Amino acid sequence: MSSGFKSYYPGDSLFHKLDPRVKIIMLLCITLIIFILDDPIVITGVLLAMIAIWFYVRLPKELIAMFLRFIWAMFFIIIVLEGLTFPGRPLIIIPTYISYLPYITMSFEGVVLSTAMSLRVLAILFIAPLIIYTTPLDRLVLGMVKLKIPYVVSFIITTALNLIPSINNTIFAIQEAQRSRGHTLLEKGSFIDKIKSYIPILVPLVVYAMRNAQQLTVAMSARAFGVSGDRTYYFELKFAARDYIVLGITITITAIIFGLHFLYGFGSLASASWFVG
Amino acid sequence: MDLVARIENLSFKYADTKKYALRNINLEVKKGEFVAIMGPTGAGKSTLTLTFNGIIPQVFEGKIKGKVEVCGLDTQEHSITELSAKVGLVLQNPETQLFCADVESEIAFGPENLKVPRDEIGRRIRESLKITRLEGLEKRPPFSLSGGQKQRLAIASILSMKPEIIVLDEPTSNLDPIGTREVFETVKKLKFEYGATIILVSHKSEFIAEYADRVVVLDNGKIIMNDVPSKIFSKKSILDRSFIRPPQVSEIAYYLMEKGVPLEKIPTTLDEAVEVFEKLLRAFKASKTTVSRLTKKRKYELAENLENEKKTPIINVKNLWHIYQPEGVVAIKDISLSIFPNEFIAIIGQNGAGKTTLVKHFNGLLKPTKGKVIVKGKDTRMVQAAEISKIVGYIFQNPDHQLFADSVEKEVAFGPSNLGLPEEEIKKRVDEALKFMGLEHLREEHPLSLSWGDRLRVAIASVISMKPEVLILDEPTTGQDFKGSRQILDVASYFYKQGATIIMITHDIPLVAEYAQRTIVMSQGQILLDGRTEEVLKHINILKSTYLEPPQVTQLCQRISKYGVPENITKVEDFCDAILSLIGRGES
Repeated sequence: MSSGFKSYYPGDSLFHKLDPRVKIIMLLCITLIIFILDDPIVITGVLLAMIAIWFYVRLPKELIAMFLRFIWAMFFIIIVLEGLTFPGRPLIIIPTYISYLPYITMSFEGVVLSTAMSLRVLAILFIAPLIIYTTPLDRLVLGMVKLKIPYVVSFIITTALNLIPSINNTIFAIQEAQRSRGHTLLEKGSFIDKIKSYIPILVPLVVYAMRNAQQLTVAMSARAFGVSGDRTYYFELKFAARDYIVLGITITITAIIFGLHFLYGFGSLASASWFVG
Repeated sequence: MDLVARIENLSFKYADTKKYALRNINLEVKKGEFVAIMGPTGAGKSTLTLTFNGIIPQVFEGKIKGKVEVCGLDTQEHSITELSAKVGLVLQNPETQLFCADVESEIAFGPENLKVPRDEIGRRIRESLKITRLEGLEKRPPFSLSGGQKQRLAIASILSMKPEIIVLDEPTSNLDPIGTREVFETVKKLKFEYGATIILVSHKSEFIAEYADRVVVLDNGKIIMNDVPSKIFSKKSILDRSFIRPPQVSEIAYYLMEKGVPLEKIPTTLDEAVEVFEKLLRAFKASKTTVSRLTKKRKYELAENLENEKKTPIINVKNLWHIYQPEGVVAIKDISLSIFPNEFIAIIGQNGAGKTTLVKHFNGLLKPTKGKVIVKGKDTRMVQAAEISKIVGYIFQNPDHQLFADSVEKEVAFGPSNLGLPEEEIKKRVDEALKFMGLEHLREEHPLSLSWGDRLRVAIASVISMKPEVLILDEPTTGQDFKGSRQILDVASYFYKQGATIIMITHDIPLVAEYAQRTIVMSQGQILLDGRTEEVLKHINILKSTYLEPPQVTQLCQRISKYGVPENITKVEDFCDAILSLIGRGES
């Protein structure tokens, strides 16, 4: 079906052509950068850069919408909880009209820190698919193996990734069946209703995933896939000039950001004037 | 000839079940033989195929008795890796067998695991591509291939491991008829050019009669017949008991012989049938008068069924376009179509022709990109799918995607309660639907714990409890045995007789001929033919262009038409009537 989600979107951008090893190193560098920085404004900058690359490689915009649909509620809950519990300067005061607890406050620090955390998660959620969707799965395995990750581990990771689009398509098929039988909550209804409507899908989904995994086991056993990892690699990865260049740029930028951060406090909340006040 | 596989007194029971899946199986397969395995759903066919390369009992554990030996290796003593170099396995669903990035790496995967040297892998890739005729597609991702190509790729990726035996478990049940023929032609090449031994599970009698050397019939875990196809397909009573449909040409012969027509033998292939009937008709020297009487009768029938013009359509499609985002794939190109109350319509066409996309517009699951679809006066763009569900019921291909309640009863009640019906009415409808589908005893069970056939019946019951005026069946017979297909079609024709409109997507042309009054042929998002089934199925060239084949009986008529047999016969009974009147035994 052409409407289904896939685990690889072919294309001919520079990003598609990069050696998978370069992409994996990029993923690691960006993850590191995001975790040493804690200023939400700077993290937003990184996030925007990710989204820019996303558009550059022409990945479907629908995928962004899909990520956000599943994730925004979680961020909302994290920010509210963190804001209520983290001690600090009051940002919002909510009256409760209860005598022993007349008002609750959301702290400025709590909201800022949890926003930074949410943005970090979001940035990583954007960079990981960027690499997965632009790299054929077996090349990804090969990249990981060449970076000394054991073959079986690499294979398990990629097979799990492979399962995501098929689970997604199954959810979609079950929802279609529900709508065909007069179910409306998915098209309209409150947030709670929408969450509730996913509950009946869980059982068939687990059953499906297990059957699917079983079939994959049979198919892979039949093709002599073993856990020893002692095998021939027919395809070879070769670094091209562009791979060296991109790798060089990635490492340089990472080094500069690290330097600026540790020497001058770049991207650190402790040295951000708007936060310290 | 030497034996390549020997099964001795094999019984097997899966760890989590009470019943034995295989009971006392004894089977010998010779080198270079093509053995077909047939039998109803649940007979143990797939279980048997998994014993040849040791997946049973090494991956799927259970209680095993007896012994399986392939190429001199005991499957309980040698590793699966070792066995997979001798026995290749091709499965039903191409999607789960293909997991690499492109055609080439898919073919390389097996030999890589077998530690074959790199330059040898290169040679094997080229050879496998050649045998399966996939040259030029090396860099294509597997999901972009057609159904037939995907299955040929699955075969190629097994072939590169150079197995001596190739086991195929229903490799064609997801394919259109030409895809099926491609796969069977490839399998034949494996046998003759590559010298492989073939063990194939399939329900497709016409193909088996043409290609297989031997047929093994399994029923309830036991081998009940083991003989050459011509012998197997002439034992009607045993076939009936195991719900195996014989080839159409054999069916014709049983019927005519019962009526006392002196046929030389029961033919099992088209060529044999042409020979048998040419001989018969030449002997009777059919006269011109009977022929004209026959054609006249057909014309009369045709006029009878053309009264649609006067009715108002229940579904009206106007200049419909559908483009899938984000890829921008044009699935439907400017289709206009009217569907009238109480029609039985079959929609046929190759995989990817846009059949499912079209019918999903009929209940509003998909909205037009351009153009409009009016269902009983309602524009589907203006209302939700849920609202149209009162009028149009949709039975999907995979029952597992339609079952989400925790009991059969709740599953069947889901639709009616969404319609906002009063409590007693819901209860009444649930009872009716359960009774009608023979599911009353399973009321309290969890739908997903039932057998495949029962799951499908629950899925049907949960749609018919909504009493829709239009019933859509999306490939209802895929993966079903003869009995299962029959049951579903009987439900459809029951509702048709009650006045419902039936729209069925299928690849099963004999079923189309038997049940559908109108047939729509689709190709590349457009309608190629739309008309009375008999008229449509006559157009052999157009059908071939969209990867379909007319039923075997129609092909037979066209080959012996010079003896006065009308060319547009699509049903076995009609053919028999024609022969009977041509030889002067018709009821006149």
